[in-house]
Amino acid sequence: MSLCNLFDKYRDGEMTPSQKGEFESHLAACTSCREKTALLDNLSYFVKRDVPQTADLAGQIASRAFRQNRSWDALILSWIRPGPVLAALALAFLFISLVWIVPEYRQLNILSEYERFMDEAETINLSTSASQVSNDSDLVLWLQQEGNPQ
Amino acid sequence: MSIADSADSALIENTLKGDEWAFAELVRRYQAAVWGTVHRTLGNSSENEDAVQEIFLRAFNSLHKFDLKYPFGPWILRIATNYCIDQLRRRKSRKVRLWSELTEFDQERLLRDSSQEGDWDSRATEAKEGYAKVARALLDGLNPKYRAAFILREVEDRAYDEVAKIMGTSEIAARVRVSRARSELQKKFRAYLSGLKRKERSQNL
Repeated sequence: MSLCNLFDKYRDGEMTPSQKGEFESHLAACTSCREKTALLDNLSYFVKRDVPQTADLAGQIASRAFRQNRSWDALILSWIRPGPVLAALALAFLFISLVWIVPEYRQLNILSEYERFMDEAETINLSTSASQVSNDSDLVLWLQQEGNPQ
Repeated sequence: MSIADSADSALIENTLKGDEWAFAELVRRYQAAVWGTVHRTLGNSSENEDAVQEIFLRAFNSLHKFDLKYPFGPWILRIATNYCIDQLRRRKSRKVRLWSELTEFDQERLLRDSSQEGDWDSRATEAKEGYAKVARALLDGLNPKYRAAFILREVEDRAYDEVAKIMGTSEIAARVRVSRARSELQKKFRAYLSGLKRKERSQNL
């Protein structure tokens, strides 16, 4: 492995004294690592010294913070946390499922029950008089009177 | 919890109770740090004062979400860093503005000088302004996340775990960003130099 790959470790001061000594010998011979060190030193130096003094904005900011006119929707959004929102959505989904999906399922069950009765009636009709059953209510009445064949 | 942290906690609790003075005090404690991060990351801009105000207003509006178990410093610097990254993304088109402000002669001279080792502080004052512009121009070309990580680590001398906390990422990701920033800066610097050398050769022919 080229010692150039250890540049970051050297730069971050994370080498043992012996590793450091070895890297510094490499540095003396490697133009690329030397150029990189000089460039980073110079960049940091100029960015560091380039910061002007700031005015004291504390009073101004605090006053703005307490006087800002926040719209009601921004206020609500600022209080919303992702955890409770997700929990509320999950509860809402569960509620909707109970209100809409379960009754529909029950209705489906009633329909399939009805279809089963019809099938049974049809089978029995083969051996009984067709005139006994002329419509749905007659069918139910007939099944109640004759008993469920199951 | 340190004394400074418990003092911050008291100021935050009082701010949440409606004490304006407490918030002003909290701002006073951290405005220099936020100002430094904003200035170093966004460069010298007339918008920096507005940026600092906006950062503290965002912090104020989210103060009720702040967990008092943690120190306030990294939290406010995280808001500042995220704000700066957003701003840098927005102004992508202005990437090389500072560089192009220099005359061709200055660009050439400054690039030559910036590859030399030594004490820049002892060089001529008028040249220093130019060097700072070169530094800024090179940083302007970096990906906003790499640039923010570079500033926190190289310029503000923060440990990687702190850089990670401020950037809301893992320590490994913070190391990768700093390392890539260093390599990209060198690549960009070399690109400028080779461009200049090509130009020189064509002029000599």
